[in-house]
Amino acid sequence: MTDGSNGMNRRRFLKVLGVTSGGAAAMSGCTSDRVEQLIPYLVPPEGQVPGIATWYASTCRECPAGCGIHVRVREGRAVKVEGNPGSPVSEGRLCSRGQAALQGLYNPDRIRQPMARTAEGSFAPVTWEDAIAQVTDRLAGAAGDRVRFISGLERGTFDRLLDEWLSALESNGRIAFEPLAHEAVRAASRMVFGVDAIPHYDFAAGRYVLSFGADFLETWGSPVEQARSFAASHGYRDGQMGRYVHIEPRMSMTAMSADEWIAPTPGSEGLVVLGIAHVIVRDGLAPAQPDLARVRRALDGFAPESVTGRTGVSIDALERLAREFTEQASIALPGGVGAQHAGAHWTAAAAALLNYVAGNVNRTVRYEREPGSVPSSYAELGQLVESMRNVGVDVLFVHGANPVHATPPSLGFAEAMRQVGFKVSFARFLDETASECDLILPDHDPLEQWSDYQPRSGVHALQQPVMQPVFDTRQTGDVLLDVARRLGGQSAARFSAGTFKEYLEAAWQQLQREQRDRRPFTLFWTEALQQGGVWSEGTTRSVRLASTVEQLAQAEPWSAPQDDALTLVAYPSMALYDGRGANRPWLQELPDPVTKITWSTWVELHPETAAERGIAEGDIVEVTSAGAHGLWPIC
Amino acid sequence: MLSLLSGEAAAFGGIGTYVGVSLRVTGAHEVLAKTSGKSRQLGRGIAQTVTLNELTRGEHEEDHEAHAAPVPEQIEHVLDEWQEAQYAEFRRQGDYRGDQPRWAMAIDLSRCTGCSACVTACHAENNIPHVGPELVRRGREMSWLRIERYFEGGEHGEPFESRVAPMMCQQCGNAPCEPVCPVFATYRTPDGLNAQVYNRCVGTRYCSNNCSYKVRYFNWFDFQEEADPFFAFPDPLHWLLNPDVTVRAKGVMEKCTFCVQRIRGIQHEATLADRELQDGEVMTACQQTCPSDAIVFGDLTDAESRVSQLVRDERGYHVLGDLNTRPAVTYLRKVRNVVEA
Repeated sequence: MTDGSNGMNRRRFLKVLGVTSGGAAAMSGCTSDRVEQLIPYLVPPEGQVPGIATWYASTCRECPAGCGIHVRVREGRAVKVEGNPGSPVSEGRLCSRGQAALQGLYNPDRIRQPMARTAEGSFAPVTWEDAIAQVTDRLAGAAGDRVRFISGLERGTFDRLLDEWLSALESNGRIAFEPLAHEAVRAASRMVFGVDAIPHYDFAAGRYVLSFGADFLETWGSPVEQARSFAASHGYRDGQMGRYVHIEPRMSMTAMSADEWIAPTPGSEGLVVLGIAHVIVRDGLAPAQPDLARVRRALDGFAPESVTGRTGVSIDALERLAREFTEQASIALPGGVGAQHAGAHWTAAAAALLNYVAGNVNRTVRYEREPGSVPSSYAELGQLVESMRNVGVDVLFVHGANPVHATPPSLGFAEAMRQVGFKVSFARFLDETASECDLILPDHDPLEQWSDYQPRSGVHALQQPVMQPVFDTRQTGDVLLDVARRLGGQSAARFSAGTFKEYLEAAWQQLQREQRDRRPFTLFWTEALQQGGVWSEGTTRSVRLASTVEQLAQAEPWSAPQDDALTLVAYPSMALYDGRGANRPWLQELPDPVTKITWSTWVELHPETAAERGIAEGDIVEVTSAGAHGLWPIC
Repeated sequence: MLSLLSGEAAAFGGIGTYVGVSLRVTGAHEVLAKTSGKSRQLGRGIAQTVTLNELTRGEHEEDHEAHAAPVPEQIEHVLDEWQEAQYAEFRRQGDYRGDQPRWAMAIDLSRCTGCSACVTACHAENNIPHVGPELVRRGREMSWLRIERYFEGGEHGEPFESRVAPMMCQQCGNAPCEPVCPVFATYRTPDGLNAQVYNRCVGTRYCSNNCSYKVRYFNWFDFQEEADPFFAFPDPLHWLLNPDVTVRAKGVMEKCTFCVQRIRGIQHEATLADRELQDGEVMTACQQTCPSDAIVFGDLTDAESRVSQLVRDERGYHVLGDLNTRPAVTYLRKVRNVVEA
């Protein structure tokens, strides 16, 4: 940042208001049906000047990255979302999904009031009073261990509320479902270092990036933060720049930025990594790390001569990559969801070991203490499906997740759900999962609610309502507290907070004590609201090589079944993510960065393969796998 | 696409996203709603690159074949004189005051990743309607800013390369769109913007016809009218409209304004506070959101401004510069750190 833009930050900072209790409500407009005036209030709130924008600091919840945002509000309505320059995650920048958060807030398809399923099977509006009474009745009649909850990935006070609320019911059955949970990377961290974590990669320090299918500029990790640091180290300046090599069969948007793109045989990426690591150890290219004998045992069988044939990458290239990787501060990245074949944990473990042998661990690759709950794996969701199918669940709550859409139909989530007696959704849209439920208690949009989020260790980001709710929705935290109160007994005794905001403030009082801040709480709170949160250094944990790393010696590449002609790589969309952005017209109309296609799904085919089969752009093909088939146009 | 994947969790507990498939050609065909024209630059040098080695050796030849006939040297001189004379005349008449800024932009292609956050930010800031797949197929998208993507090489075993370049109105100093407008709806502002006056525009579309960069967009429909087949703002989606920017009606040409509402807003603030504008204070929406800080905006008359420094960079070039349009947008060539054979 130059001096000039710092000036900008300061000016902007001064404009950001902290909202103390009730402030946002006083500032804001009314719900959609009632607004008739150009300026939606008769007596304007103090400090509100028509024509002058007000800015609120909050946190983007469009993906798990948790970028800090500033929301521009004019006459009580949010009109623009921008990055918060003070946030260590976004540093004032934002991606397309964050920009399009407004189209979630103002989406015409939002559920406008509580809805209950009628005897005919359709949905009809009910009052909040009736809806909450229904939930309370059902819960009063259900055994706690037959109550299950599926939430999205929450990392903050709401996460804690859910756990407490469920434990008061004596249910421990929560699934924190995040479709892009990167289970393979976690499995690899367990195998190589014995820790269940996704490491933090320092792109600004890593001058040499070797990515094995990580779409780190699209959906993998924290794309805005990574794009900024990557540009800082890879962008040309005064005769210097970093180097980036991408190794993946598919040309992704991230791969387009690479200085060199290597497309190995699909599924064999892990062998390429191990070949490079083998050369580093064999030639002593990096200072020897502890436990070298263990490393050697893991890498013995992966000499370039033995992997070149199976990967299609030449011995020369492997040796060159090994040299380049150790010449400067480097990072090896395990693949994202688009590279998550059945052997992806081998690739990720190999990348972790490559970072280890090159001496990158604790330098450019850090293992931090992850805040909040670890996302549940897809396998754990599978166990819940099994339990539902066997009529082991009486009440199911779904919040912030759409598992019917985000899992392969062969998992049978929707069918299993039908075995559950009472299903409650907190969805904002009538998505595939909400349509299967009996009761919908629509949550506020993230821009209408109080909450917090910890994207990574040391970063406590706050969310505050930037305007009055557009529809007759209620914050789920408030609904849960209301239900607990009505249930009485230990549920009611557990919670002293009347609203989720009070519960949140109590959590932040605790945080203030942990930070040894002795000011009055209102000062701490107001300052946190103005800044968008509280930031401190994360806590790094030191890691040692685990004995299980030797399992890598048995690493097997994934390969397509013999009788199938082609390998299909399913990857998340840069704009639509796992599909959660699909109802935002801006994101639908945003041309895909590689194919430039809008508003549809397509199949990409190598031009030579297409030519061999006589397929041209726009031809519709039927794609068949063991499980199913479907029709898509060719790009 | 998820339906093709196995519902069984892989060994690591997640979904396996690679699957063996077979293809059958159905014989049916669909015109894709794509915004790219040609995937190849055909020597036009729109997105230029240079290798790190060439740069350090000091080789910065033009990265494309000039497709126009060689221009006689004196033409450049004649044009300069003509522009100077015009400028002097405007100043004499009082239209162009000497203390006006000259707004300009620099886009560093070695930082741009093609992520398109700028495109969405531009939609949000400037009340640009979405048009839907049917109009995209007809080439009638309204996005003022697009990311052009080109492929190079890849044939006969050559290395394959992708390039991207954000493309918006270049705010030309010698704009081809201006002289062809019969009603003076497009004109040059004293601070160097190529302005479009919506309520003068009668929709001849001559300007778009004459634009070398295809960055002017015509409102074929009333996207804000509920009765229109392409109505884009169903209630309450219109609440996100920026009150500082006009919503355009059918029959009007529109294009990137360099976020003129932001420029004027901050100029007014500075005037009220009786102070000078600082470099970096005015940020266009695309620049503001760019995660990789590839876009820099500012005043060229301030020789020390960040944009002035970048414009003088050895990597700087103007897209289709040989047309003598004198764009206010300077691109900095992408640098490729490649291993030379």
